[in-house]
Amino acid sequence: MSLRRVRQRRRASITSLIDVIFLLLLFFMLASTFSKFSEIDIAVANGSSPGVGDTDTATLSIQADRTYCNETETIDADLVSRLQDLTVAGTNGVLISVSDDVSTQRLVDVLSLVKQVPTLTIQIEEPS
Amino acid sequence: MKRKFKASKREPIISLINIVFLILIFFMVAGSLSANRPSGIEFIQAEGLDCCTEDDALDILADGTLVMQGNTLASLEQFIDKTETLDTTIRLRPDRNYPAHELLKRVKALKAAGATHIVVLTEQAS
Repeated sequence: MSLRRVRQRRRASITSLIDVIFLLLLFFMLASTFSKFSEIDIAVANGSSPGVGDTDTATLSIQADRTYCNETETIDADLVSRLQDLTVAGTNGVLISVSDDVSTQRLVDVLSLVKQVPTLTIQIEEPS
Repeated sequence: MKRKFKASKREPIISLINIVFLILIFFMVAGSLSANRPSGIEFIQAEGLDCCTEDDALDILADGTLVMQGNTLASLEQFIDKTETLDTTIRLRPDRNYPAHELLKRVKALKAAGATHIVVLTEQAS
């Protein structure tokens, strides 16, 4: 009699163990996220846009579907090599201006491209 | 004969527990518990930036609503009042469709209030 009782208790504990584990599993599956975040500096130029007239500062005008580097239209794939050419020619800064229809995603895309040229100091023209 | 039947019935249950335990441990180790994030925000995607940073930030939804740790803020001034010191890094996490010039206006306002280092958080693409 006593042996049988012990066996029955063991079975019951396994089922409740599964219940608890399933609950924990569900909780962690629903509550956990796998997204990781990076950060990128955003530095707005102070005052009335210094450096516009300087010869050693390039201007980068971002629009929704195109980018102008020193008034010349540049596709994103060529932007890094063009900036590197300008660095060799003595440019050490970039002044970025955005038009009204540019999304934050687009701005960050271009910023991360410009960041690939580490010698350039990035300034973003403040909105009027 | 009856005993053999019972013994073969138990085996799949134990292997089930093993697998469920494995999945449980995977989610506990690989995932991180998230603070409640505002619904409907699409994070900016970026590659090649240094991973990883704290994800405690001021969320800006696509319509310009400010959300800090699940609480909607009425204005940027409220955020500035709540923040003890602006000398530390200020983290912004705007929606990817938020207009850039609106973001720059907010950055300008934060700078005028004394913030020195402002960063934008991007989600690791891939």
